[in-house]
Amino acid sequence: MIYDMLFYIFSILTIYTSLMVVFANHPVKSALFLIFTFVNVAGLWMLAQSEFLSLALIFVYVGAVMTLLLFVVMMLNVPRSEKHDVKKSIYTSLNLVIGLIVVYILYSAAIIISQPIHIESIESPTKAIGMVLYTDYALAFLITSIILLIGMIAAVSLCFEGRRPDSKSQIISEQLKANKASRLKFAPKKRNSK
Amino acid sequence: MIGIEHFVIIACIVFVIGVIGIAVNKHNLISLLMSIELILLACNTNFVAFSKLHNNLVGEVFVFFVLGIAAIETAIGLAIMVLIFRQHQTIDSNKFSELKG
Repeated sequence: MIYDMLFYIFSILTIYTSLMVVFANHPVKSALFLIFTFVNVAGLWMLAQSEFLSLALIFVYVGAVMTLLLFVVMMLNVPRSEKHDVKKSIYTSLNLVIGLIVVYILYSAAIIISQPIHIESIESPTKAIGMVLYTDYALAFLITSIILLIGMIAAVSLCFEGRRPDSKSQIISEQLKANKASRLKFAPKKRNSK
Repeated sequence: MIGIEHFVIIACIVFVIGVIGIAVNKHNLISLLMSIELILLACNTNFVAFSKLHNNLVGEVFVFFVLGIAAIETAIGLAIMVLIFRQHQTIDSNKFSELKG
């Protein structure tokens, strides 16, 4: 009973917030609603008894990705979207009709497969995921880590404009190239006027 | 009784909302990224639900990989967006015409 109530609360909030992500008039608002959507879907996954993934969703998305997204939205100073004109509202209603048709088709497909979720009691779901992840999928795990590294390098090198000429940082290669001849400078000898 | 079909229905509603968001907000690149996040979230919900249905952990492992790749995709997309903003002072996708598309 409580399970059903929690499921309906989370699902209604998920649908509402994801609609607000799309139709909010300011990008900061839609980013904040996207955070709320992620939290609600994490609750749904928790109800489906995949605790590890739901916590990972909150850590990865709400902690890292959405902070980045909010930072960029605020840095770019995106203007508010203009008022809905007639052409745009026609497109929107057409999209809604097509979307409802797709929802109906998927709904009938979901009714066909409708079965209750049977959950066998595992002693620790995280341990079970780890057993699969580090044995059968160890290579894929390593490749994912390399992709993350490559993505980090790509993002940094895209936004890096080179060292500014007036920055006070030290240039290590120049320091290592210095030798005695380039460092010592002989002052011209002063003649004693005697 | 909440079964597998409820999760699948929620996932497909969120998926369709994401697709509609791509069509509605197609002039704003950041909204496009957020809609892509919604679509990936719906797909991940399907993976979780079906892995519970078949009592098979491979689906959850796949969700793990999808989460990592989606995070990287967002990071690189935002970096490209910062570059576009530096060049054009806007992220309105109607204003870009270098590729004559």
